[in-house]
Amino acid sequence: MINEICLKFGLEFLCPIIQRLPVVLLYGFLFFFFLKGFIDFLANFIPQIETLKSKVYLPLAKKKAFKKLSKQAIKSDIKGGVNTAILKFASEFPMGWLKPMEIEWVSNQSSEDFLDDNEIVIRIRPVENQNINFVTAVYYFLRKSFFPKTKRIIPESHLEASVLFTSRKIIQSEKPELKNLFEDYILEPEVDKNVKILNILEKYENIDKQGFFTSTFLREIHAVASEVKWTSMRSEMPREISEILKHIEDFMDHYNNGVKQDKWTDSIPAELWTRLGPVTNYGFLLIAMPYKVTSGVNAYVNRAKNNIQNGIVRLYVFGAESERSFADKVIKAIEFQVPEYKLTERFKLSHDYRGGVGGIGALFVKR
Amino acid sequence: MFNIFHREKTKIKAVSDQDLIPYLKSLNIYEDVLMGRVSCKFCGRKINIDNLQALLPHGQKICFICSNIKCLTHLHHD
Repeated sequence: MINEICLKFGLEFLCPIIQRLPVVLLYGFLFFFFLKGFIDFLANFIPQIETLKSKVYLPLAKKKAFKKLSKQAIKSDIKGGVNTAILKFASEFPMGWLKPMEIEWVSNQSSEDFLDDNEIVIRIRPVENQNINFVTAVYYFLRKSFFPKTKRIIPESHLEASVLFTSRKIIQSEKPELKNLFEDYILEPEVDKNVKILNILEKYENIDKQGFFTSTFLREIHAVASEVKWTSMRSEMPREISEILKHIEDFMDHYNNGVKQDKWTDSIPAELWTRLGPVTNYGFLLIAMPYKVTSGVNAYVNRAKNNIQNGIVRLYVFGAESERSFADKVIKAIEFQVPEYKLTERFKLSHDYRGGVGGIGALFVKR
Repeated sequence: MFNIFHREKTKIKAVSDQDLIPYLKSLNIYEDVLMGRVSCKFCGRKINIDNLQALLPHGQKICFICSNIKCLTHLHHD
């Protein structure tokens, strides 16, 4: 009958297609499920795919007929957004802090299993509240990820401020349209609760302009907290954090004043290149490419050796983005020519010590 | 691209709105929430289905957190 209709309308070329329709549909379904599985697999490694999925699911999930898609839409949107940001920022943060996020839905669990799991379960609101879901998830994810194993030792105001500062930075970078929502919904209530946070956030903003927030500040206070965890020095954490922050600010002030007078290397007093704290000590080595590259590398290697002789346990080496290849050479030279130091981390910088975008850093720790 | 061999992830456990009531029933706490017999661990506000935001294991007890963002920001586990 379909053949007759096709012939009647002069569409005979459709007859073989219609006859094979069940087979075509079967292959179509198989291909669809194979493609979906392949895309889900790839999304584990390329978070932007998850964001693309959410762009398809979210508008559909708001329609009544597709309500069942809502969980998938919410998950893809949050996971895609957060993991794309992490991919961008993770290499600035201490190693192992920011791992890809996974949302695990729970729907059925006995109270015994819940207590055994010892994991918080948060409620995710319907897709209509997706913006709030996103800012809450970013905040909660960073709160969970920051200062692994030392959370309870870091003073609450600094723990909170560092999470708020980073959440705002991530949201501003990934979903700038949600910055105001984040400030009203999360930042404002936190400032209400503890007004000191504003002062701390300002300081973080300032040291981040030259890349010292993630590179030095977070790493140092985490290192101090790990050292004092089981000692009486634990109660000294607030003072130690303030002093590390002050040291970084003083160092930056001297550097910036020196740059204005065009002689920054002389403008930083010798004692500011290092900080000898009661728990840890660290030093800075700022790389600036000289006219003769070979002799320049040796000069930095010698400074690293001086730091070892002066008992500096943690040495931070920073290079500007425009001089990345020379900075790489210096880092490699220190790694091979100063065996007393072990290269523990190489990391990216949001800003270099000159205030330019990007940059490279390395942390050497005395063996 | 994430390192394919580095598969460690930070897991966040979540319950969607559509699964909330069955989930509370499976934990045997739905009645308590419905009758307003439980309160927020941090601010003391009575918990109901609308304002419940998170569940927190604490020793041998299940604690409830309300939707006030000030309470949510108290949440952290080592």
